[in-house]
Amino acid sequence: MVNKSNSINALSKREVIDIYMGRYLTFPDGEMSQPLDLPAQSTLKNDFYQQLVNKSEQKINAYWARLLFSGRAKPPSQATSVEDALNKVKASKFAIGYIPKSQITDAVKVVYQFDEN
Amino acid sequence: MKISQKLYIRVALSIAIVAVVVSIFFSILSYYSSLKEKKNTNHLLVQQLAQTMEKTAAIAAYLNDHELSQEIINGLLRNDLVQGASIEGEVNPQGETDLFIASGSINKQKEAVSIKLIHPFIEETIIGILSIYPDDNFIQQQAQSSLEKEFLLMLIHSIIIAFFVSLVVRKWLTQPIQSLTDSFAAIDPTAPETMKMLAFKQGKRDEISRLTQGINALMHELQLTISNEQELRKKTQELEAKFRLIFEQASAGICLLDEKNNITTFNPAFKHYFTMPGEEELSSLHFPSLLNNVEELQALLIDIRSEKNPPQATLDIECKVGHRTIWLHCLFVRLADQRKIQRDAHEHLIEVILHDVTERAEREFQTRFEADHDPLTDLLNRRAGEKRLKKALRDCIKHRHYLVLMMIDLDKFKPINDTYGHEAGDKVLTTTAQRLKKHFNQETDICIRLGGDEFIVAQQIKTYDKATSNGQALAMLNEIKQDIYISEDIKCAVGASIGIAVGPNDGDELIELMLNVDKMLYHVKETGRGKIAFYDEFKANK
Repeated sequence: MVNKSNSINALSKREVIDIYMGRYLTFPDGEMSQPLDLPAQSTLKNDFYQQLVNKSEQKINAYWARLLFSGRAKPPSQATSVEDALNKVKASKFAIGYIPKSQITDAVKVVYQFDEN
Repeated sequence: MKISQKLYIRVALSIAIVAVVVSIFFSILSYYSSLKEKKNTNHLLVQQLAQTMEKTAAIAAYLNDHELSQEIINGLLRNDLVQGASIEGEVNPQGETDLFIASGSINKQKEAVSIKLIHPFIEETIIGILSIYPDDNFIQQQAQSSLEKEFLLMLIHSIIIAFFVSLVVRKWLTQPIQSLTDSFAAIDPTAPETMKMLAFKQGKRDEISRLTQGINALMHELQLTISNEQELRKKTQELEAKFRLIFEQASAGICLLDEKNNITTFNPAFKHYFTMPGEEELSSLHFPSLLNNVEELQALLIDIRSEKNPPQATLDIECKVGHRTIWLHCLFVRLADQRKIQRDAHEHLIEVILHDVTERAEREFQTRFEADHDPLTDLLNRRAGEKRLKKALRDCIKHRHYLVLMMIDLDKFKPINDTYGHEAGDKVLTTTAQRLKKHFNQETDICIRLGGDEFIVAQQIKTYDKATSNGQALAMLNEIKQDIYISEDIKCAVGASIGIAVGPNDGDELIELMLNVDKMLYHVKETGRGKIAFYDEFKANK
């Protein structure tokens, strides 16, 4: 989900990966992107990465750790909860976050949705 | 180039040369094979290295992260095996490569180990290439240093082997051969006493010892043979000297005749017989030609060669050398051949031994002459004369010839003897004898002094002609009547009565013929002397 004012209406899975894994710091249209993570060790975060890149949270942490000293890419900033994520997306035009489908509100725009398993 | 003649040095040198050549060959072979192997190994190592860095490189490529890429490449370059490395990002839709980081030497594209970098999150998506270039120089250096080590080891190995082989060859081969050669050199084949045993180590059974034993056995035999030979030769020489002495100093002439009766060998005495003083060579080497009686001699030589005849024969042969006539008593011996090859009968050698018997022959001749002749007149005496007459009569009858027999008795001889003495009488008799011989001087004529002043002359003729015989008798009578000088100033003359009988007409036995001729002489003497009378007339008158 992104801010309502964001011009992007939909993202491909690949574009989501590129944003979250730090390849691009912008949305495909060139606007800056600020990805938001859910709290660590949460089922939601784990599920998200599992579905996105088929990797566990630990692996993702290891990935970021490897890039910590040399890379210019930074891991997504941390949201404390689903609500906090929702609020941050609502507040920032550049933010992008993920929440379960059931908690989606009209205040945000859904740009990508995982298939139901 | 002069190489030492010593065997062990040559062996060592040969081994060393072969070893060096083999070392070089195998070192080069090993160099190339190890170089290839090293290259393969390095390629594998580099590949593993690339695989190690694959993940990180993939992330760097994914993020287009230059710093991270540079760090990766620097890390790779720190490895000795790597001379260059590069990370290449994927081509973006604008046709540009976002990421290309390279370092070191990266120009040898085909030796590079390249790994495709897979998208860290999306499988089967290639996002870049990691290329690593192995360091060939390093590999080569490694291979070279290992080659040098290997070659050095092999060389040292070869030299040590060559050295010890030469030592062993010298100890086991060269020195024994040298000592063998030295003891061999001390041997003088012409002096058997130097042929002593060669020294060798007892109890050893190697080739050199066996060779030495063999040589010793051979030498022992050789020494025996040579000693025997020398002894034998010495004996033979002594014998030969003796035989030569006998042969050369013999007073008898000795010669050997071959199958053609040619002289093959002769001794000095032989040569002396047949050469005049001062002559060097025999006049002929054909033996019969040297002698007078060629036919008889050749017949004898043929006879003696025949196996049927006794192997020895003797013959007295007259021989004229220069002006001298000599008599040689010859002993002919058919030589029994000592050779194994049996010769033909004609091929027998004949040994001839000759003695000069001239003196003896002359003496015999003289004795016989004296026995047969009247010492005063040298005419045949009665005994020898009758023998000759008998033979002559036999021959005449056999050949239908005639024997004219004249018996002569001197007239008025006794007074001369009485008046002038015996010497004068002897002179008359010898003169008369000469006159008889003058008229009857043919070889077949026979003149005999029967005794006193009685003579017989006999003539063998093919055809009897009375007139001729009568003329001869008359001529003889006239001759007898001629004066005989007893001394320078005394001369005398005798007459003669001659009775003639002709055999076999007047008798075919000598006794008869003699009787008849005696009758005729008696008749002439009775009827007035100084005449000639033929028995046939007397017979007719009877």
